[in-house]
Amino acid sequence: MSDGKIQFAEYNETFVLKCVGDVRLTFCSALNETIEKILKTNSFKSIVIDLTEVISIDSTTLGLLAKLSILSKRKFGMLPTLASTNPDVSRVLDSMGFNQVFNLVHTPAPCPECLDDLPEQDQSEAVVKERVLEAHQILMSLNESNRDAFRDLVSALESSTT
Amino acid sequence: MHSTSQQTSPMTASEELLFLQKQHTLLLEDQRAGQQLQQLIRPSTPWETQGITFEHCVVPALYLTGDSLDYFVLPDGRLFLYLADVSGHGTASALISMLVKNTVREFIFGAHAVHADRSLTPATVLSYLNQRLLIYNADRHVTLICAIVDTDQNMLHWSVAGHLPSPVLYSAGRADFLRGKGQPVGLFEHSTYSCEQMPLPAAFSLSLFSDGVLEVLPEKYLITREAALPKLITAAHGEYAGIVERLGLANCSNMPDDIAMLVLSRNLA
Repeated sequence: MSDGKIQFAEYNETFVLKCVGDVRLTFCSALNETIEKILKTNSFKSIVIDLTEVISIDSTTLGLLAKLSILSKRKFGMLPTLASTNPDVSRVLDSMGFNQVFNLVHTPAPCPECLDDLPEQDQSEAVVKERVLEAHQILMSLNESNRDAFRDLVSALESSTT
Repeated sequence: MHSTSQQTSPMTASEELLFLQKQHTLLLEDQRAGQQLQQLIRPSTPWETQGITFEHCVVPALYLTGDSLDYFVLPDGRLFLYLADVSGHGTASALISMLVKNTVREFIFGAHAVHADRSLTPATVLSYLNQRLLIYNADRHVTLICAIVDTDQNMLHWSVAGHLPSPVLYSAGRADFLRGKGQPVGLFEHSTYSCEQMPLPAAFSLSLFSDGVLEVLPEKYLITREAALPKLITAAHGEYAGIVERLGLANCSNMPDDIAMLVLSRNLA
């Protein structure tokens, strides 16, 4: 892994995955398993992914995010909320058709009017919108005051394999 | 068979160094043999048929590459091509790229291929490839552009699976990205692919790239690098050699990422 990092936090029954910097993964299936294990052993009601501090993201990490989308849909009947404000990152997400498999938010602060384009999910549109706004609030509060809540996913992976 | 692991007594430092050097040489030979094989199974370049010239180059980041391409004549006479980029790089991605090539050819030429004339579209190929790759659960996905050139009807048909950058069509002094998008293959069970089409100009070139090409452009951001591509192609008058030269692909090695490029052209002045 290079200058980037992948962290996670658990907050208000929400699983938060945060990627920072230049994210390049060389191993993926091990991370998949770690995330699945965390999701299995705790009770969550939604997944949030924060890409707002990403400079660039490689295809392997994007594959990991896609797995998280499938998992979230299966487990919670709704897609993860994914925040991206870097135009380069948003361009890549768009080219991969990720607007169909994530609740994408592109504004730094929660914006109820910006949520008219969300993909269809098992939960009602109203519930999805509410969860997305809530998820976005959580991201903001974690980023502003609670940075310590984040743990490095790679060290979680290492401790779980020993 | 080479065996390098039957060491029973403890090694001295110089023995260990020798052992590592030997192992390194073996691995290097192995990688080079793989690289040669990958070069061998790519289609010939330049290749001309039905008035269309196909030219390509592939620059691996190391030895083996997950970037791949193929082009050939379909049983109904139309021309088929794709350029694909497997996530990650190195040996594992290279193995998946072989699987892609074989799966596509099996779908088109295999014993079970059931295509009435001209019923095959780039989208049906992508859908099939998606389902086949999902079976392997390989934690790798593939972005690609798949196209069919119909010189009888003078039409271009294409479909895009999560691929960046978009193909660039050059004609009459102008270069523009082709529209279209879709999800990569090998990720989602329910991905669907749409077919795009347009009449082919009398004189044109169509350039396809893997995303590694964006890393050799000098602009700072991904979106500005992407925007620079049509300008570069216009400056090269859409010609393969000019594009290669302007991108500096002729004498590059140890690239940050694999790079693949395919240009098809007709009647360029």
